[in-house]
Amino acid sequence: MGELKYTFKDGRLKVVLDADLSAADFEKIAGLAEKLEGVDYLGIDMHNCVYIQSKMLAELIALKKLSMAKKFDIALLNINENISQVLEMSSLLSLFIIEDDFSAFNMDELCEHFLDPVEAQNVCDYMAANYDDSVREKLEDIIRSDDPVKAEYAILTMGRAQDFAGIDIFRKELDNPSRNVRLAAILALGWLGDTESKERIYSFLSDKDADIAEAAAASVALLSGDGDSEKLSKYLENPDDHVRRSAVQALSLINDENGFAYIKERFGKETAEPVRVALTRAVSSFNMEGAREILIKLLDDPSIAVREAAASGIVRVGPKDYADVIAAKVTDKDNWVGFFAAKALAGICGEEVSEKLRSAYPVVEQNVKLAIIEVLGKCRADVSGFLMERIGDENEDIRKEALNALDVSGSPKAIEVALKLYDKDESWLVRYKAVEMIAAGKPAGYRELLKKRIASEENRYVREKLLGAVGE
Amino acid sequence: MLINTVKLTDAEFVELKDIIYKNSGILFTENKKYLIENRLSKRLSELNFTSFKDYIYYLKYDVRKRMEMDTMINLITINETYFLRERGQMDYLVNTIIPDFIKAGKRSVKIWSVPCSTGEEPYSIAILLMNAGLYNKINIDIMATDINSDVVAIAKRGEYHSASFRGVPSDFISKNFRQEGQSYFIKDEIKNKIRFNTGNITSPTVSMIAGRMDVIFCRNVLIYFDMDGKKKAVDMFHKTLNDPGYLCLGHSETLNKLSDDFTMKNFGTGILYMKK
Repeated sequence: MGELKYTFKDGRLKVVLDADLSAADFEKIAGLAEKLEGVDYLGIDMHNCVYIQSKMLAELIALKKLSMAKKFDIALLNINENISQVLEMSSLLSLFIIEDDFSAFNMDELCEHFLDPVEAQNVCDYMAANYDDSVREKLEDIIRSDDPVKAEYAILTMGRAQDFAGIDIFRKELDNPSRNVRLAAILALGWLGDTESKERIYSFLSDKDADIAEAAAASVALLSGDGDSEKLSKYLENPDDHVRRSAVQALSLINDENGFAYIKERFGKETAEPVRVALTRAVSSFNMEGAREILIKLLDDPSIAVREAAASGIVRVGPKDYADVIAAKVTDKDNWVGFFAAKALAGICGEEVSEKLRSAYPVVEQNVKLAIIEVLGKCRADVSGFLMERIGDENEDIRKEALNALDVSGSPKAIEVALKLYDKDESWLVRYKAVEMIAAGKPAGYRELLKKRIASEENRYVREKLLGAVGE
Repeated sequence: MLINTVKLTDAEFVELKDIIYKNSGILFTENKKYLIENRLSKRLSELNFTSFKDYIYYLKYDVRKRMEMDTMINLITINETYFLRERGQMDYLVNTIIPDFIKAGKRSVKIWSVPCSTGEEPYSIAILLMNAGLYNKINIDIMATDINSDVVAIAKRGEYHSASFRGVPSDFISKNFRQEGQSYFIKDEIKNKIRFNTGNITSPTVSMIAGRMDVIFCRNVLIYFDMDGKKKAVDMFHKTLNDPGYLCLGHSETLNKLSDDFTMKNFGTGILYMKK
């Protein structure tokens, strides 16, 4: 154990721990935090540490107590999965701020993170936000190397940083043998608005790799100008289903009147179900006259997939004058059509519709019941009696959803019910919801109540919620 | 990256991770929230859902829930790997462990790659053993197992793209793969050396199917299990291994606090654990 490595600036104390950390390190950190004037943040960087021994947890708790007494935040930075799990198992995770702090890494270490599927995107964003010539130089080296995954993120980083100097490189990489690199180049050229590459990017719409075609659709939309919707409409005639789907996606992203007209027209001709589903989803992305009517009509399509997509689309565009038609679909023979139909009524559900939903409730499947309860919570009618009955349901999700609906509806009974259930309901899901509501509602004496519950709560998710709610 | 990410609320995250844990033994900690959002958002969009709550209801109440559970587990367990990853242990197997077995008069050796993901690890081992001429000197049986049926199917097909060859020498590719367009197919004589199957290392049946093993590669997966899951897996490995038997973990993994039944061996370019 050597000297503690730390920096202290503007009230922020940052300590970097070595791989061979010991309990004494935490004691030293505590001593330092006490000695320095005006600490309001303590970051403990653990990127060198593979494991934390259980005997050190007591020191960590002592540090937490000190932070509470001296009123500063503690963040554990760059902890690995092992340490994260040890903290979670000991119910300590929620006591600390857990953060990535990439400033602790040098450029090579940062680029190594490109290989980590969890961290790659975050590192890419960090490097783009802290972009300078040295970052560019390193990224260009990586693109020239033979590692396609690192090259992919190097391109994405340069693209995110809006580095126009990268355009020539990205154009060349459109021919890279690695699909990862090509995909990144397609996206980056779209972000940088390189209209000179538009024709080339069009060619990727017919790529057999769905991700590449999807990226091309996104970039074509970003690079689009007058005439692109018309050009894409030709792709709607392509014999290949997946090319037509890519064109639908690009048209929906361009989202202009012409595009909407081509999509509408295509419905009359299209027979392939996956493309019809894509067209249906695309319709709901257009906030244009007639979109809602198309979706309403599609609720009677012979294809279940199309009907489900249409019902879900109506949730997005709103039901407007079609509340009755949609309410009738709540009892549809396909329960997901019923589910989305019920959800589409949220917000417009007055007395009449709420009555229809309540009468449909006994005859529908469990998922539709849940959607009905959710929507009733958002309706303008008094449904608290109906929701209170659901609190006694044998299904835990029904009870949880009813509790939530009472809360959303602003019923004064909501907190009252939560206070009854937070320690008695047999389902942890319901108890979790009740604790969440109590913590947000803050009824008199709630902290003591929740604190008292911690010891007897057996479910660790609820226990963590309780600990978080009382700030311990 | 292209699909808008659907955000997980705290309540949805704890419920989803509970479902994942009960169905796979895999524990997702708080810092994996982002991974779940990233990997499942596209699936939610395909199913027309805009919130994880609705997706959870789909997993619980749809008639296809079992199938969807498999789809979800497959999506979240895809582990990026590549040929010759953490090569030190493989070289030690080829240069020291197998030659020692041969010297000791052993006639056959069984190697288990678990989880094998898309097959890069077991194929790398088979290629290195072939290049060293060891298949002519001892019977070698490599079994490869993964919980994710999709990745096992990819491994069996043996088709790869350039992302699987990070920093791999070009002659490794030309000698062992047949290139067709942008795909690289592993040669049949290597493919035939591996027995692939689907299984979960926390399930008791998996070791029964595996039988006795001499060397186990279990890299970068124990981190996804809780203490109990880790202990069960390591205990199963201990029972499955012959004596002498070797366990290779990922470079950031350790048996510290998990088991006293192994001795750690540091051989310079990596470490492995020997059965006591």
